[in-house]
Amino acid sequence: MNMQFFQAFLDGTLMGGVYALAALGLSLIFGVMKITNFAHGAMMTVGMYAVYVVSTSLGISPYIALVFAAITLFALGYIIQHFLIDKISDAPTHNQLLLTLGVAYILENGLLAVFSPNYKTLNVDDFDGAIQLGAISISPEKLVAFAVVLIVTAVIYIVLYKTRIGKAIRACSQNKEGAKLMGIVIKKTNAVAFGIGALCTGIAGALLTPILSIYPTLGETFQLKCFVIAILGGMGNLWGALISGLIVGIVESLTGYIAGGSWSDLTVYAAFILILLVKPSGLFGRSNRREH
Amino acid sequence: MLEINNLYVNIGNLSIIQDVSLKVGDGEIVALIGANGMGKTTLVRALSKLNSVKSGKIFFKGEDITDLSADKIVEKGIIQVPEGRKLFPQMSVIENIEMGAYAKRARTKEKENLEYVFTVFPELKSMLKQACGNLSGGQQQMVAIARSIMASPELLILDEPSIGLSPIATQKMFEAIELINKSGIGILITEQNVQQVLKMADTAYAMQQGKIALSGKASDIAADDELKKIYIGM
Repeated sequence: MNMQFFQAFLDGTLMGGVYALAALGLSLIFGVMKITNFAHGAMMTVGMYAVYVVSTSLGISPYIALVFAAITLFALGYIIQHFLIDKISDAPTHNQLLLTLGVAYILENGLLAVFSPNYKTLNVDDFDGAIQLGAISISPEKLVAFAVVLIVTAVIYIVLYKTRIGKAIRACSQNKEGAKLMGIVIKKTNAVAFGIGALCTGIAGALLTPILSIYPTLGETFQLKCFVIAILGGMGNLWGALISGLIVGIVESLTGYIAGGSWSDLTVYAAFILILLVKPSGLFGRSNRREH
Repeated sequence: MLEINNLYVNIGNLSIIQDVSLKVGDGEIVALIGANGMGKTTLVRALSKLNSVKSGKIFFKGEDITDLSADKIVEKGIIQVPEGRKLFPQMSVIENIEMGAYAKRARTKEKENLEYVFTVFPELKSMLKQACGNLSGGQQQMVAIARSIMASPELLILDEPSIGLSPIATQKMFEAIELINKSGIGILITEQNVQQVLKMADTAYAMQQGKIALSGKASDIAADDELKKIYIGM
């Protein structure tokens, strides 16, 4: 294996981690509410602009501004679920889905109105140049992004598996009526779950801000990517989303190395369709077996 | 402790429960019997607010609880083991049981209730780490009842607990229910296994087409072949 191949593999893994975090949020929201959040990409962009604004106006590192983005996005997700989606929780799910699409357009156009469609680039001075390991060079921004993804994922794991509210969220995703009968207030767990899902995509956006030039509709690309990753992982399966995120990142990067960047998306989506043809519930999806 | 007065429950535009009145006295076992599709499940779901009440009143210990939400009903101490059990299949047995103690009323008594669960179902101790989805029907029913005990019930509602269970598992479950009742917990149980439930119950109500067709002492109903034939079809 030559060094460039390894370099591409490494880059793909690091970026895949960021995709994985955003997709984890989408999958969590689906697992609990059974709706696909079409505002996921737009929320990611909000996270990007939150970091950009806080970092440039206060002159602080984007990695500190990230905390602000995380809090903002949690609040945004909580509010959207509590004040909008919950109000139509008896409506058919496709109507709830359209509501998230409406939210996406409002967020995107709000960003367009405030920040203009121009590209914005954050100048990061936290690091001096790439890290060289022999022939391999690692972007410190991507390395830090990956490390933050690991930490955030671990924290979300602890919240979901060890805390009262986290266990209630998991209970709701497995049997809503069973959860109600134990005194769990579905409205609250839904809002917290949506908040955590939004926080994931917001942090992913925040981590991409030092790497990419940002513009208000940037989230659309990631919306589709998150969707593909979450489906590959089996909608609602959090570990599946993490592993699929890495896979998509690696496939994208290796295709770019072997065939050129313009082939990346084509390969990812072709692989997506092929996998679904062979395994319709996704790589790690449970089959549609009914629980009894 | 529970008093239902002239209750009506609709599902969609269909009137399922019509003018049902029913009482559960302190520490009593009340059986709700009748064939499938007569409205037993709709009625008990309405008590736990999984179905909404159209009209009529529900009182618990003298307090009007008709308009309370599902979580408030739980906090009052009315806990239901639903039809089909509705466990959390990907959670382990112990996690399922612990979820029962989610209600505020149960948090301080969690340890005590868990000990009580193990005296009722000592078998559970050996399967605490297993995922609930992999258990047999009888084992799942034990977990479901254990989960409800963790919520510190004053009134326990059991909806068709013997469905899908082997005769041995059914027998064991009825024994467990009697044991739980002896600790002072009121029981409202719906059953198709009429013979067995009438032996255990104090009072019985037979439902037909969403109405109470017959009520009385369980032993009287069990003894009267004519009544059984007419209302229960056995």
